[in-house]
Amino acid sequence: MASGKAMDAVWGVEPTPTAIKLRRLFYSGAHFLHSHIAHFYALAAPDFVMGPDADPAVRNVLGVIGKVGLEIGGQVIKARAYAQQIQTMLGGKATHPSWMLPGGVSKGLTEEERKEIEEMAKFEVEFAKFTLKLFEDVVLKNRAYMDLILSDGYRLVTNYMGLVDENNRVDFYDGKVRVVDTEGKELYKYAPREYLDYVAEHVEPYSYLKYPYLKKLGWQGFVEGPGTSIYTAAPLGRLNAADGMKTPLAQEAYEKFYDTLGGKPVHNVLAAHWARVIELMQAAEELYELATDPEITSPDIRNIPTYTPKEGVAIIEAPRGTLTHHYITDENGIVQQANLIVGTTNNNAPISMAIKKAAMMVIKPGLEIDHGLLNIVEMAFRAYDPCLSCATHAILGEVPLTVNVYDAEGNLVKSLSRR
Amino acid sequence: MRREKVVVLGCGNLLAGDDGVGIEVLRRLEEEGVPPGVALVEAGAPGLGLLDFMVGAERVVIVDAVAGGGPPGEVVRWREEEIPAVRGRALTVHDVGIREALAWGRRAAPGAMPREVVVIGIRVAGTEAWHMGLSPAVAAAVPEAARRVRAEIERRPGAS
Repeated sequence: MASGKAMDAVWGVEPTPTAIKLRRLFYSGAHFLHSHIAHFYALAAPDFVMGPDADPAVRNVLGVIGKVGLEIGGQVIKARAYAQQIQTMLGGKATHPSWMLPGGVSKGLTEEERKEIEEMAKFEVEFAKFTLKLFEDVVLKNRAYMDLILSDGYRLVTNYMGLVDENNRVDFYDGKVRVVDTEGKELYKYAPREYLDYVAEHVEPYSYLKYPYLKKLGWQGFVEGPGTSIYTAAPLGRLNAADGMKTPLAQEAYEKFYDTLGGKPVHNVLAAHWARVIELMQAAEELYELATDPEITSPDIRNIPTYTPKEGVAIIEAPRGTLTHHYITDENGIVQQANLIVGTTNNNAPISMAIKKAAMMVIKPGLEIDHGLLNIVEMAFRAYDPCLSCATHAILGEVPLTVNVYDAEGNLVKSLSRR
Repeated sequence: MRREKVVVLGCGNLLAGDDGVGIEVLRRLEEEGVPPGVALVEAGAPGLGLLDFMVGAERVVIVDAVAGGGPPGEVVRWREEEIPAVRGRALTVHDVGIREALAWGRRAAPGAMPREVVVIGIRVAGTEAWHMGLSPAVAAAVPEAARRVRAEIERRPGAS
């Protein structure tokens, strides 16, 4: 979606209103649902439903289903399948769809398809309501989990970033990038083409994943608190950077989120799971709104570009954070130079810092280091829903995470690894 | 909500050498055409997400690369109960094997799962990241694998 939007910019063409709605239906609705459902049920829920220190053999999605009920498993599968089917219906295939064109899309929606999507969207709205309720029952009503979420070890004070619409509400597909400071006050609001004025990337020799920061504040190192140039993106970043959600039920949940956690901005790393479920609600509601929009079946799905292609920037919100694509092309639109800032990349510094804080919280002198402890550290990582293969362009197929424990003299005491 | 009764899932990664053979077989079927009521789906490497593509289908044919166990290019057919389990511990939801994903789907949502799942596997020499294209023996097996998938599509449900 980001590359498709960047090609609109390269070719200097605006998509038709129906094309924009179809793209939103695919992306802000179906794609976000598909991604957020997977993260919540497969990656986040095991820590809370089974417990942070549960045996890894049961701390997984199968354990969750076994505990909350097999019928819930069926609903999860159905909700994911519907989202996938909607993407396939529109894009030809769900992953790497060949559907986006400069100025629009290659295929519209028939009335028969629209009716099918409307039915699936009704189910998704009910499923999102259920998921919010499940989060409330399992996490919010559990004092120990709330203490964990609110603990200092899972608290990181940074700036926040997210795409917002003209009313400063969370928008996954389009708008301006808004950045708020550690107190929640607006620092910047910029159009995608201006991104290089606001974001720069720091490089560390030990990683080939860069560390973006707020350029006007300068790189100040891995420091948190007022004045830091580190920012957080993804669900927590988006909610903190916005003034609200676009849809009614998501807005209701948004208000409860800040009422419960003590106002804006929320700096609690694990609160990202709740923020993600609130976004799930917005995605479902937006899917339904668009599926019932009279214009969605219009055949007016593309504006033909007439401009000679040159350069373009697009920014969307990927489920894992603000996603920037910047292309410079030749006169035939063939890309000559490209710069991408991938969703997870934005969160590289916060992830590193959050892991360190969680480790410092639990690793104490004389304490045996075990898998339960390792998982508490990993939970800080998991809250960001990172996709390091996207961010680093690596396809190792493993999680090369190692925790090294040193004594006060700097000697390695123990090393625990997932390899 | 799925309208097609038979779903053919091409699994694998075109950027990992022979691992992309499932996708190549699917593309061949696409070129040759399939009867109405059959969906051809590029599934990638979905892990547990495999179930997303199956909901609502009556029969599913999975086409995938198979590592080892015979000469590269050999085409094998497994019924659901014959699909080998993944050895070792899965690290992510993408590491869940076909057998494990199906077992969970059948437990969690029996009504939504297909009545029958068959795997057409193509043995590969090895997979290589960041390499496009199949090795000669595996490329030569694509027509045979496509023929076997077509036989599955046309086979009467329940007959083995």
